[in-house]
Amino acid sequence: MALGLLIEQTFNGLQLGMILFLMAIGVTLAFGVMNLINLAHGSMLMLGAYFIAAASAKTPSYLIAFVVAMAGIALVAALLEVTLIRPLYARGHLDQVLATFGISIALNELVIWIWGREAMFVSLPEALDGFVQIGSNIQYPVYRLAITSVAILAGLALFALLSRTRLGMRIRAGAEKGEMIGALGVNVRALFTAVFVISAMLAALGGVMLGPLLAVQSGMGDPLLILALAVVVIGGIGSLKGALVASLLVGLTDTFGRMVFPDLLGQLVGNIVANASVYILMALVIAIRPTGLFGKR
Amino acid sequence: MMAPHRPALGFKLILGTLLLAALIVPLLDEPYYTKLIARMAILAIAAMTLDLLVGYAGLVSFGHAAFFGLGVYTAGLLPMLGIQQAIIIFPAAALIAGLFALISGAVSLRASGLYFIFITLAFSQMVFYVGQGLRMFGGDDGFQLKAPTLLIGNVSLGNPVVLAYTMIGALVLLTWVSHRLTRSRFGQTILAARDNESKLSALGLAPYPHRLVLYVIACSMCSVAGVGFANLMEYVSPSTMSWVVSGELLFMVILGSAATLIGPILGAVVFVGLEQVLSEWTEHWMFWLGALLVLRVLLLKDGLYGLLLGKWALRRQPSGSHQ
Amino acid sequence: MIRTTLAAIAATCLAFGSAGAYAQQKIKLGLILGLSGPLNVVGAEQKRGFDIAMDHLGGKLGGIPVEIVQADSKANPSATVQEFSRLIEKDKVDLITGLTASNEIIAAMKPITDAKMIFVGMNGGPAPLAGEQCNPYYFNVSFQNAQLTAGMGSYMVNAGVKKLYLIGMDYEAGHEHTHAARKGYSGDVVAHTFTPLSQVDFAADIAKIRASGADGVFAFYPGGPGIAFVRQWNQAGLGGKIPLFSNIALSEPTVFQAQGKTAMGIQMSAVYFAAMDNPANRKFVADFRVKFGRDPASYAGLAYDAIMLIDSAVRAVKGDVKNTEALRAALKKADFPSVRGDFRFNTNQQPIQSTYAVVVDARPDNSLYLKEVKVAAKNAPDDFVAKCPMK
Repeated sequence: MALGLLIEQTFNGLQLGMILFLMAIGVTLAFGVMNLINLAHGSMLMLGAYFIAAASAKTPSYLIAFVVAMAGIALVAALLEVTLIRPLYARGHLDQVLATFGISIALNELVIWIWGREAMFVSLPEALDGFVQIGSNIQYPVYRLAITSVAILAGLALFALLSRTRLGMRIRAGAEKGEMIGALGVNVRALFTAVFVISAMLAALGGVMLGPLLAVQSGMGDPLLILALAVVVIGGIGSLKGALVASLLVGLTDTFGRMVFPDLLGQLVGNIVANASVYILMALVIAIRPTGLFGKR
Repeated sequence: MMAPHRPALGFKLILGTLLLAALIVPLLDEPYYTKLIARMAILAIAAMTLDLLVGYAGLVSFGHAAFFGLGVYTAGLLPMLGIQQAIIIFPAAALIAGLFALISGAVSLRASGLYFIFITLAFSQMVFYVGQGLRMFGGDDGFQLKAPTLLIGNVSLGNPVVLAYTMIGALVLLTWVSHRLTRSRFGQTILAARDNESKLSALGLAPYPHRLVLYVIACSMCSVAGVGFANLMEYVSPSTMSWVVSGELLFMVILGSAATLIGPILGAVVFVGLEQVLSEWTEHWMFWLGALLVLRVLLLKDGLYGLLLGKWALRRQPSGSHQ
Repeated sequence: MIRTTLAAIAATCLAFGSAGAYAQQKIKLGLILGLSGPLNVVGAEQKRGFDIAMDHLGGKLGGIPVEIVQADSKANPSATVQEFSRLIEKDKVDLITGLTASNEIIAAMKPITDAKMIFVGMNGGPAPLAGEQCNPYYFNVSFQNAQLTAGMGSYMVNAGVKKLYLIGMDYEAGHEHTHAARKGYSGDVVAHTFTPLSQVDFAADIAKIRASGADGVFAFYPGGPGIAFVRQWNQAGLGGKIPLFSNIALSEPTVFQAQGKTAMGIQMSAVYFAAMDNPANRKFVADFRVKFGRDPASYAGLAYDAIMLIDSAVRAVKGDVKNTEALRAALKKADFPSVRGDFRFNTNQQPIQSTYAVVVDARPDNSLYLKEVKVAAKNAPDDFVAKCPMK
């Protein structure tokens, strides 16, 4: 395998991994703090893409469109949490799975209702349009590097939030001893809303960034959601460290799998294995460690 | 102690009427509506078998579509080997589904709670990708059913009336078998494992083997529905194994009331009916379906069956499994 | 004035009268398109072409008012079977037209044969149905898959491509089109791969293409994936570096807006493009521009032709659509003004038509359009007609 291809595919795997990471930390955070399983996360990614598409159609400044889109997501997420999600905390996981599944079905159709069936157009921010020269042969798109960097920054920001701020302290306390923090005077409801909004914004950030790369269409977040769930399971539900390790593992497995398996096993078997590689990985991990790599519960 | 449920006479009448209607419609020479009845019966089988897992064992499987799809593909592939007889196709489908259930169940049941939900999803995705990747069988496009399943002689499941009656008959039979299963000692062990695992091990009973057996049984039975579906559609496609189908089956279970067997059957009937009615009414019917699912979970304490039974004591799965 | 009106009324009565007791007051037409799912962009465009046709015909076929029953195939064969069953058995339509993907067409064959229901295909034509499995109830007014891409192979040779990389969507049409392109190509094929139907991120594949050393790429991606592929292709720096070939699915008016200038220079084969110069097309394109603000894509033009074809046939049988054999014969004549100019049916009820090589270019006002480069094949049949039992 040529070095250039290896490098390029590593970057691609990292990019996919970081997008998955953004979604996975949202899922794992919601679970850790609120004991909530949220299948509507894919829809948050999709909404992020739609919002930036709609916003950038109205203003030439990418920055403004970005801020507007993220603010819109925060609003929608807060609304969703207060009305539909809040009653779910007291319910079992089956109810949560089905209710959030229903929300994602409804949202998938809602965007068609509002914006029609055709893919929306998002332009690449001018400053990021272009590529960097890596070595003599590779030109890697700046934008993809930007996505990976932003995702890493978001992860670091979240880490800082959790370890350095009061809010973060409350969140961590909530994850460890949910029943206690209410007694300590923390406004649990507001805290839960905050955590939900943060996780939604992380997923939406992924969507906002992927918008210019892909076709902004209904249901675009669902395949990524499934992969993100695989990440969460592999890493261990509730573990941020697990989410990071697993996202990179899954991102690289998927990318290199698509490249290696068809060559190794022939087109037919190779393509099947490449598509299923992440799930095979998941089954292997569960068989050996039924609570994931770093799972506690 | 589980309180047995005794449906009121009025309720038995309602169920009886539904069954009667299902039996009469195929005689009206309206192929479209006959096929609708067949579709309801088929999905009812799939949902009912899922209830064995979700309701009675507390195992929320998000991968039931895989076994449905394995039935579909068995019915589609065997005719290519010249085999059309139901007496071979149905058992073959059950065997294949059972085998996959044994392997995937052995791994999946090591996990519990959320991990179980997602690992079952993972296994069904694997099957989906295999189906999608089989280029010689159309891959993602799937392929047309070369020949329908033959019951006896020339009586073919390709005939909508025959199919409808066969599937209704299968539904009744499998529901009776499942009902007996839940009442047996085996079933009681499963229920006990669902509600209080530690007590069970104190009694020297291990949940894992019991659950695995149940898993294999429930998933094999589901393949019967798949065989019917292949004959209904006259088409075989990997979309029958997608996670969306698994989600829809779960919807039917909870719509009807988990842990009741009859409930999911009702749920399937209502779901198919809703699909029909909603899609005629508006282009964006998927939105309303999703909204309905949310409303059912949030607003109703129980599914249709539970609500219909009203105040009678009902062996009920607390909404949502506690895992 | 009064005399002519009376004469017209008399003539109409005679026409209706002579059709006998079987003349219809209304025609029920089933329109089934992939409005949701991966090819919804295509389905939506087909609907636009259909709308213009209905405008031009005043909501009538052959002069008889038509009731449209719409269905969504979701570009999914299972859903297609279900919807055909609904149209035939529940809505009891007179005939059906539409469909967006080749795999759907294959799935539709059993329902229409069982019901002896005529179906006019608006987009795509899988090989088996042009050959051994040709079906008397299926009329393909669009193109046979290989026919659309025919000539691309030799075109690429003439364009100087020595090492070709073929890549496409992993479904029936994807295989047919890429193989058709490969067939006429005499140089070195570096790779011939397929990506899953739902894949929209091609980073890994583009990396492989770059590493392969290919000096020409043939890529078949319709709809949303087409948009994504072209944009990512350019972002990876390959736009303008390695020539990109396809058939018209990859880049045309529906996606010009989303692809922007990244689409410039893509060379494709087409049976229809907006700049085609004949009276029927000039009228169609002009009205399309007025209603939708841009050029029509091939999907719209072919949908328009399908309706015009049906209109001519209904007119020929004087509304007696229940007489399937008469309707079939009328359809076979294809006596309608096609936006493609010359059009006739072959014995397998697939088109005999010309294909062109076109390139994406910019007008002085910077809007993109498809410019004809040359005629790739003139009035050509498809490759499979000999295998069809219908003569």
